[in-house]
Amino acid sequence: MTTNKSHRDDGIRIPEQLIVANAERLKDIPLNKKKAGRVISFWPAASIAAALALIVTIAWPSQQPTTKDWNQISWSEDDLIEVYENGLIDFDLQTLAEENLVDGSEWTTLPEVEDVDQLLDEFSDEELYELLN
Amino acid sequence: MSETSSQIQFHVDRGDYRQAFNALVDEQQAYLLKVIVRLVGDMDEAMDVLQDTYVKIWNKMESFQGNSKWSTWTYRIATNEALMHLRKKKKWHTTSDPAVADALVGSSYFNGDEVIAALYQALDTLPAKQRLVFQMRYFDEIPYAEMEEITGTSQGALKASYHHAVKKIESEVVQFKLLAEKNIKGEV
Repeated sequence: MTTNKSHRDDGIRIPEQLIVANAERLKDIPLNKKKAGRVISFWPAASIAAALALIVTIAWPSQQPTTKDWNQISWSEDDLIEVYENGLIDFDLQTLAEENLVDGSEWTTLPEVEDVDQLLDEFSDEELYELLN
Repeated sequence: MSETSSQIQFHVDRGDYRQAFNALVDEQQAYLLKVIVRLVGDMDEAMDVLQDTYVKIWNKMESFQGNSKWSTWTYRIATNEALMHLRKKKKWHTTSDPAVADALVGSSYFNGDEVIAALYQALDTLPAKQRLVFQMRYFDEIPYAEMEEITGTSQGALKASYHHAVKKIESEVVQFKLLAEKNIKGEV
């Protein structure tokens, strides 16, 4: 059963005052609707923007002129984070599967991904290399 | 249901998610921080991951269906965030990367003995997910059934993964063998 403390000594001691001060910071989270302070790096953001542009191009070709310069589209950071975290872009299947692993009913990993995960879990790099060669 | 869990559920049943969230912070943040720092090594990074964990907990609280205990659910979110953090840092496989253990053992928050330090060094030779399985079983003594809920991996695979981790650790750290024979072998 998960409880509020480790059962065996793990050698880690966190000062009580740090926990108390951090609790105040964490309790401010509900006051901010947006994910304040969250930073999204440039390349993931650029990848998401490119993937969005590609999907829009494929999904609505008749509505979008092929000469459209997608670099002119301005995606806000919040847009990108929302798209990324809602799993709307399948640019990283494993990442999305992990994002969805919040409640038991939302596990959506494809079977072949599970198989690969299980292999990675159970075998070391060396063993995998031996198996594959 | 524990007293804290019943308090959290009491607030949720009344629609007072803010109070429920505060109770989750008071009850679980210290424990979750330890779980996270054991995986990522660096305390500053762990604090950031903990912040992301609680942001996700807040965002998902209303949609939580109660399919598991609150503690299981939050543990799962915390470990997922920690693994995601490592993935972003290209530390998914740490075979040749001792940064996690070095950061942890070298920090002012570590006061373990040489056996525990050696254990963390040995854990650094494992892939992050296998390290997580070991830590859930060894440090937190979480039953395999609950580990299955947390990881979405079958109990058989978890037992195999834990057994594999123990074997690797035994081969990596001679000093750890006595402790391993005494405390670990009987649990697989």
